[in-house]
Amino acid sequence: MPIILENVSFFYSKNTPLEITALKDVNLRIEKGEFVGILGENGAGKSTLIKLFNGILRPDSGKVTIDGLSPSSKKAKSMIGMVFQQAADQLFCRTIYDEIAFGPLNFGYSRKETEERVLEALEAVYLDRTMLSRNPFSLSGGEMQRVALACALALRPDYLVLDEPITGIDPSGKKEILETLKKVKDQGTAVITVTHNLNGLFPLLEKIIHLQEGRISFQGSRKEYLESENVPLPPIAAMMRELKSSGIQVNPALFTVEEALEEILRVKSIIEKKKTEK
Amino acid sequence: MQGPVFSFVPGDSFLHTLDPRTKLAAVMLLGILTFRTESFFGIVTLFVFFFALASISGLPARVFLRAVRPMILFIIFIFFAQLFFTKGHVLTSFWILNPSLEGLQNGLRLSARFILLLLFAALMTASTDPSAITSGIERMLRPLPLRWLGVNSFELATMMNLSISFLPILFERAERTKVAQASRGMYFGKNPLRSVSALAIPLIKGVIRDAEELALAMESRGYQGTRRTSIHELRMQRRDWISLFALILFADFMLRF
Repeated sequence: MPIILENVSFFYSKNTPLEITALKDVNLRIEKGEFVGILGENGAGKSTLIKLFNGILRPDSGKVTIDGLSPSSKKAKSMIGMVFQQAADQLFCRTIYDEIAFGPLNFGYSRKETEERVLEALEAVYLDRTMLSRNPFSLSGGEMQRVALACALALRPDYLVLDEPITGIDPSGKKEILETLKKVKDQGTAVITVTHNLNGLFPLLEKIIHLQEGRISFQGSRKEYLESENVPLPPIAAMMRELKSSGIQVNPALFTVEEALEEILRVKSIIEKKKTEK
Repeated sequence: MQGPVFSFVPGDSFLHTLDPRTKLAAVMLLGILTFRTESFFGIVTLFVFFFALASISGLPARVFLRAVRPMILFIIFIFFAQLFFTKGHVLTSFWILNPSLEGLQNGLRLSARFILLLLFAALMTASTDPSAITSGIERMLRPLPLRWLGVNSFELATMMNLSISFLPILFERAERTKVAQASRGMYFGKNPLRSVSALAIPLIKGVIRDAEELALAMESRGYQGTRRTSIHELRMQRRDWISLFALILFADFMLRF
């Protein structure tokens, strides 16, 4: 069963002169096991959208269901793991163990079960067991982000929702987070991530939703996204498109350095062949 | 969005253009006056005076309603406490309560005084930019020998400014922590005390961290807590001196009753 949004609209400061339309007529369906990227500029409604998934915000019109349940029900909440942007604001316990155990204990799991989940989550984010007794605020920014991710994973969610998971994190930390996400996805959890950092996450995305001023301006597979107009592209794809528009017959729907190199060399050999034929 | 109580409403009335020090002094003087005024006539005069100032200021009525509203329960409590616990001519008696005539007078007088205080304070804060208020206070404190206490008026002014600007940050941080807790299964609905206790510690810790960061940022931009100049140097104009003089005459007249 999926996350379904039907004709969802959301306004901030409704019925005041300062009313802002954050989302307008959004229709969406996210299945378990999908890797979904929600893209868009600042203020496009991305963060508002994910807050609808676990009932932090309620739509002003339209309907949100999680596996057929209301997002504010406890059952639905336990199915959704959320990681917000500022990791430091999400950590509030004295030790990392307490921090990761907070979720499972709230949902009523036993001490033993909770401990199991804490260790499993810690391992999933590549952190060491010796860290469990440390204070979350003694960690580096990247480690904090991983603890925040572990907190969500300890719920063993069906849907893992992340807001800018790799922004402001060094390359090695980034790589580990991406590996964690891939692993989680392979275990059948839907990973839904909000980002405008196309560089790191893009190769993992299977489905892309692009928001523009509160409306969905694109929804489809990564391949379709690379071929569509008026969407922000990862750097390599943008370069390939430039090459194409300058008259070189390359396939523009590529986004990794290796693929691009291969494609450019292929086209180069064709051009050289043509030259010698002449 | 509804502004918080005692917030500034921009305008260009006579009251808006007065020096903040004039207005601070006026509020202090009027505060003393309200509590020195005993007679019914005097209190009515002060209300009339307030309405005159309010109409000069051109501020909307809701500014003043909003200032009084949060205190209304307190004022009602004071009124009834005075009414029932002042000894004197008993008006009527039921059960164990004996409201007295003197109590009624005292109650009305005290509640009127509190309302007047709130109204005059609202008049000042609504017609004065908060930063002007702090620089006014700073300038008024400057002659005091605060150095003996290890502070100076500039430090006090900076502290006031920072605490005002920190409030929205505090609310935002509380909201973010609350959301993070709620999405990990914390229920806030049932018990408001629980949400306070769950939020308080992380919030205080967070604010201390924010404060440390801010202190670093200020120091790295050269803040020393010593004398600083201001873009808007305050200068008492003729209208300030005239207003103050007029107010003193008014106070003198009121105190003669």
